[in-house]
Amino acid sequence: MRNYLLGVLSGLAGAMLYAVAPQIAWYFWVLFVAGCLLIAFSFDVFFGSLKEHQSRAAWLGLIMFGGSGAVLQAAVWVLGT
Amino acid sequence: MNQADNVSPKQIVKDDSIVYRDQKKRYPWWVRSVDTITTETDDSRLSKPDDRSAAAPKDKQTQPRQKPSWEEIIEYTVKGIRENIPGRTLPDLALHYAANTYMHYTIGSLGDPRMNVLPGIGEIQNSWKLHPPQSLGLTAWKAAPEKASHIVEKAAIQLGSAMVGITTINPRWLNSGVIIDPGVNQITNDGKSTLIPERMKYVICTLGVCPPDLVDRNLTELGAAGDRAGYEMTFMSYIRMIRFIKGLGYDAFDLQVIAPVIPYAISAGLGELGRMNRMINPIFGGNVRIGAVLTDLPLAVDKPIDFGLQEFCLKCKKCATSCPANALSKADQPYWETVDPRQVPGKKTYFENNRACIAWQGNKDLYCSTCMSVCPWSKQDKTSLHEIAHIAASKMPGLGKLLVKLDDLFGYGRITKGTAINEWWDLNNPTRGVNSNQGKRT
Repeated sequence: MRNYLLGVLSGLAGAMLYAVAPQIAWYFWVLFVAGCLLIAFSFDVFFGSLKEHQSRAAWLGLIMFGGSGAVLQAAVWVLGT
Repeated sequence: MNQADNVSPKQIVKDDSIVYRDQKKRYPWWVRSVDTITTETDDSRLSKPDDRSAAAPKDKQTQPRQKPSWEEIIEYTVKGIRENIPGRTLPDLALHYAANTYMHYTIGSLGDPRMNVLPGIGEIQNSWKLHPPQSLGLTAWKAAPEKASHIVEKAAIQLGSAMVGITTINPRWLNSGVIIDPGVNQITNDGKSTLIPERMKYVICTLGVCPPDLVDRNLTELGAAGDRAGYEMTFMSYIRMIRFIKGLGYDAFDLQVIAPVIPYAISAGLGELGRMNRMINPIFGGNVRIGAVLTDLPLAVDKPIDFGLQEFCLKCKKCATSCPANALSKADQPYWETVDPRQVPGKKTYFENNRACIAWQGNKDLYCSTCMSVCPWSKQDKTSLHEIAHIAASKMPGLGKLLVKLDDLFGYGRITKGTAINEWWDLNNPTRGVNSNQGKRT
């Protein structure tokens, strides 16, 4: 269910990006996809690590991978649009 | 009906000392907790047959019960095997008997009177007598080695093993005084030596897993419970496997009685030898225990594996630096020389100070598996981060030191200390503390 929701959100974000900036350069799409993957991965690490009772790994993973993904998304939305 | 058992509703007194648990945690939201059972009852209709006497159970049925004779049971069983009827073939029957191992050795064999209440149940529970198939006039089960190995693996997983590996006996890997002798047909002990017939050449290795949340609490009784749980899982699975193999009509023997099991498990592709001089499995890491069954059932065997552990252990040293007994080697390279006269030379490894390890455990009266639980390969599988790290460790050995540093940074491989130890009692863990799906390939 989580992966499904993340996929739907990524698709909606992509649609929104295209709607806002249809002429955006191709490399911004690469950054956008990389950002989505990193954010999705951060959720996998966070919730998976909590299931393994490794809270430190959970939060560190969320910050590292989710933070990196957020930075990439910020670059796309600020610089690309 | 026993009059003393017929208690009227007025005599039932509510016991105010009964404390109820928090029922909300038991089921999802759509399951309601209620005060009385949903089946309508009427105590005035209550009566119980007296089943305390095995010799004379009271039969209240209006029609005589058809009790199958022993001959009918055998005929039914043999028909299923001879005609290859689905669900009644010899492997199916062998699995049934193997799955009944511990029930058989407790309830079934002690003459429990409950076995005679329902005629026919006693015969089924005691039908261990029906194997080996040769006793029924049948031949041992025959199949191509690949099919036999597939059946053996499937049975072993069902009977409690996490993974299975198959290899052949090696005369170099036998205890002193154990010899493979072409002149004997049965395992023979003449007081000086144990002689193994040549036909018994296949070794089935089973793997038990220690519950990771328990062994993370090493150096405590909880940690010791985790260590023992791994051994119990292994022991139960390979004892059941012995019954399974015998149910197929072949010989089966506990290899640990005559040989060390680690080299066989490594030869069977269940792992590589790590710095702690024990086997590390690429899926479960060091949190594993090994069982092995020697048999003459022809099997297709497995090959050893290489997942980059030798390179990784050169750089890691986490087990050695974590060992509370300081028993493990911190050498930069493995070596040939043993450090204890009881160790067997002939392999290049990090020979450990075994006596320090045993002495430390003895002094604390605790089983320790610190080295195995801190190993970076000892991980669960709830996040794909571990698989990515394992792939990196396996295929990019140059990243070894970085991966160990990241393992430390993420807090893995730390022995739980202080009040966090008791948090185990509040964790949501699978049955027996082990995810039985870990590592299964679909």
